[in-house]
Amino acid sequence: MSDDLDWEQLLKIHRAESEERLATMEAALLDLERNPSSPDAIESLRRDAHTLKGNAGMFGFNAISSLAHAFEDGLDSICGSGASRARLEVLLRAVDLLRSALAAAEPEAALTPAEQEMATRLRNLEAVTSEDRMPRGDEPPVEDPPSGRPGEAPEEGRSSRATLRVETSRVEALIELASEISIARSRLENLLASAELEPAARDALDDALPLLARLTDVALGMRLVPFGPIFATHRRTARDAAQTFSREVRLETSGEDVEIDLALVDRVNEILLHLVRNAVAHGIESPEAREAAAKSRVGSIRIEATAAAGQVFLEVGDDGAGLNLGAIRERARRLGLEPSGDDHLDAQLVFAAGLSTAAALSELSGRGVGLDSVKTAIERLSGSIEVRFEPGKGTRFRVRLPLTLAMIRGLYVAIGAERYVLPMDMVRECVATPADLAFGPDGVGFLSGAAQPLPVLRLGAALLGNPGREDQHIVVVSHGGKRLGLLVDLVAGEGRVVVKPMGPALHGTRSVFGAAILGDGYVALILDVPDIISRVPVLGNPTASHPRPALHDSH
Amino acid sequence: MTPTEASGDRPSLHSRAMPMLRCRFGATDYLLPLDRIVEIVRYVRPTPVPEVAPWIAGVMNLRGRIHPVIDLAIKLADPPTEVDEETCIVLVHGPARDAGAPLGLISGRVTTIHDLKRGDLDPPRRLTGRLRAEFIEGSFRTAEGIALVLNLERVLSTDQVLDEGGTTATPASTAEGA
Repeated sequence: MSDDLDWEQLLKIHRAESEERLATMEAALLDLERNPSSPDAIESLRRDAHTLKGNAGMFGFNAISSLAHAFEDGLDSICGSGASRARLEVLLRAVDLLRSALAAAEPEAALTPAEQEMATRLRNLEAVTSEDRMPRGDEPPVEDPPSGRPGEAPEEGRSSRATLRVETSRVEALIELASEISIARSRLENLLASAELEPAARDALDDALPLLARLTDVALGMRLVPFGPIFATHRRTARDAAQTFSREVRLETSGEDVEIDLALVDRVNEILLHLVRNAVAHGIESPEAREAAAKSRVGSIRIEATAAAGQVFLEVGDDGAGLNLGAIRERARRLGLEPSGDDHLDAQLVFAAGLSTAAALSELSGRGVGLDSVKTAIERLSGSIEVRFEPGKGTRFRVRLPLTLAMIRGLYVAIGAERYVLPMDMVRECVATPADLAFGPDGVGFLSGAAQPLPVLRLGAALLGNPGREDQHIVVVSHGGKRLGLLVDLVAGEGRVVVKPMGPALHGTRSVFGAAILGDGYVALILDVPDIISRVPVLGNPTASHPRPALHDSH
Repeated sequence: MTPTEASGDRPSLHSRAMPMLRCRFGATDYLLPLDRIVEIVRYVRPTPVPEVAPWIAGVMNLRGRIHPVIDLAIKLADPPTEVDEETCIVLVHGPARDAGAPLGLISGRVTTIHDLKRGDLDPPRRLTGRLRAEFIEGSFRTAEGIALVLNLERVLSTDQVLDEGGTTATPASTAEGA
C-alpha cells in the first residue's frame, strides 16, 4: 500500500519535472530561432533531451524515451550545420508530441504512428531543407531591447535558487491557516489596546504579535510565483500567431522576477494569450506594409511586468500601426455610444461590449475579438486595463492586477443589519452626508460643492436589497477614473481581509466580489466596486445605454 | 459490503434498506438520502446576498468555508421558514453541475432516520400538490405521518420546481415499478 503511494508520488514528481524540462527546451528552441548563433543552446537542449530520455526509461515510459532519444540523435546530427528555421519547426513539433505523450503517460506503450513518424524525421534532421538556414547577414540583426538581456534565458537568474516541491494543497492549507491567524491577531491587538495586563504578559504578547504578522506575510509569499515561466509560454503564443497571420514578430519580455499569486496565473495566461494574439493579428502590420512604412519587417511585441504597492502592472505593447480612432468612433456611434472627442478616452471604447467583437471593426481599425471580455475578466479580479497608442508607432495595453487575491485591505461598512467590505485600494475618502441630499428614483443623488457634482448611490436600497437608516455617511470610491459616493450607515474601521470565494452556486453574483469572515464568525460580503460603478448610468458608462440589469428600488 | 449501486443523485431503492433523513421543509416532511448529507448544524442567520433567487437565503460560514444557504420551503411553494429553536441547517452535497459543492438547507426540524425499502414507497399521487412530479420519488407512510422522498439533485439543479400548468402531479414515471 505504502509502496503504491510512494510510486504515485514519484510519478507525479517525474511528470512535473519532465513538464518543466520540456518548457525549458521549448524556450531554448525559441531562443535559437531568435538568435541562431547561440553556441550553448544546442548543447543544453541535448542535455535536457538526454535526461528526459533517462527518466522516462526509468519509469517504463518507452515511447517518451525513444522519442527523446531520436530528439538527441537529431541534435547530434545538426551540431555542425546549425539549426535552420525548418529544423527548429521539427524540433518544436517534437516537443509538443513529447508533451502529449507525457500527459497520456502509459508505461510500456509503443510509439504511436505520429510519434514513429516524428522519430524518423528527427533522425533525418540534417536532411531537412538546409537552404532554409536562418539568414544571418541579410536580415536586420536582432536589436537589443533597451533594457532586455539578449541571448540570456529568462529563467537564468532564478535557476540557482534551491526549490522544494510541495503539494499545492499543503500550501493552501498553510495559507488559509496564516490568514486566520492574521485575523485572530487583529482581534488580539484590538483587545490589548484596552486590556489591563501584567507588564510581563504584555511584553510577551508584544513580542508574539509581530511574529504572527511576519508568519502571515511569509505564508502568503509562498503562493507567489515569478512571471518568467508565464512569459516563456507566450513566446510560443506569439510565434504561432505570427505563422497564422503571416507576420514576422519578435517577443521581448522583462520583469521575469516580478511575482504574482499562483491563483491568478491561469487568468494572467488567458489575458496574455488574448493580448499577445491581438497584438500579432491586429497590431503588427504585414512585413510588406512595415517595409513600406520604413519600419523593420520584424514587428516587436513587448511584455513587461512591474510591481508596486501590492499591485502588479502588466504591459503588452507593439510597434504596429496603432488604433484607427476614426473607425472606432464611427462604430461606437452606430452602437449608440457618444464618443467624447478626447483621443485617449475614445480609444478606451475598444473595450465596449459589442464594439471590439465586430468583424467590420477588426478590418477597419485593426483591433480584434473579445477585448470587452478581457476587460470584464480583469475587472472581476479587482484590476483594470487601459490602452494607449500612437498612430503609426504602436499600441500599448496596460493591465493592473492585485498581487494576491488571498488577502486585501478592506474598509468595513455597515448598512442595516449587515456589514460589507470595500476594497481599500478603491476607497478615496469618507464624507458626512449633507442634510439636503436628495435621491432620484434610481437611488442616485448628487453631492455638490466640488468642481463637479459627485453622484452618490443609496447602495443598500438600490443594489443590495437592504435599505439602511437615513443619517448616513458617504464613502467615496473610484475606479477607472470614475468616482462614486456610496451611502452607508456606519464606517466601522479598516483591516486585512481574507477573501473567500462564494462557491460555484453563487459564482458571478453581481455587486459581490467575495466573502469575508468577521471576528464573530458572521459572513460579510466584499463588494465589487468596479461592477457597482459600471451600473450607475450617470457616470457615462458606455454600456449604460444598453439593457443591462438595471438599478432597481428596494421592494 | 457489496459495491454500491446508488449513484447518489437519485435514491435507487432496491431490496436493501436505504437510510433516509427525515427533515421538514415548510409544512411537509421530506426524506433525504443519508449519503447526501454532510452534516447538520445549528441555525445561524445567513448573510443575505443581493440579486439572487428568492429561496437563496444567503451564505454561511462553516469552519472557514462559505456555503450558500437555501430556504427549500420557498422553493417548494411554502412560506419562508419561521426560525424557532428547532430550526437547523442541513448541509448536503450540492448538485453535480456545481461539482457537489455543499449547500445548506434550512429545515424546520430534523427528526429521525428511516430505513426505506423499495416496497415501502407509495406513488406520489395528489400529495405532491403543485410540485412537479419529477421532483418526488414517492411517499412513505410512517407512524409520524407521511413523508415525501425528494429528488434533491433535480430540485437543486433547476429554478422551476412548480407545475406552472397547475395540474396535479400524477403517479407518473417517477414511481414506476413501485
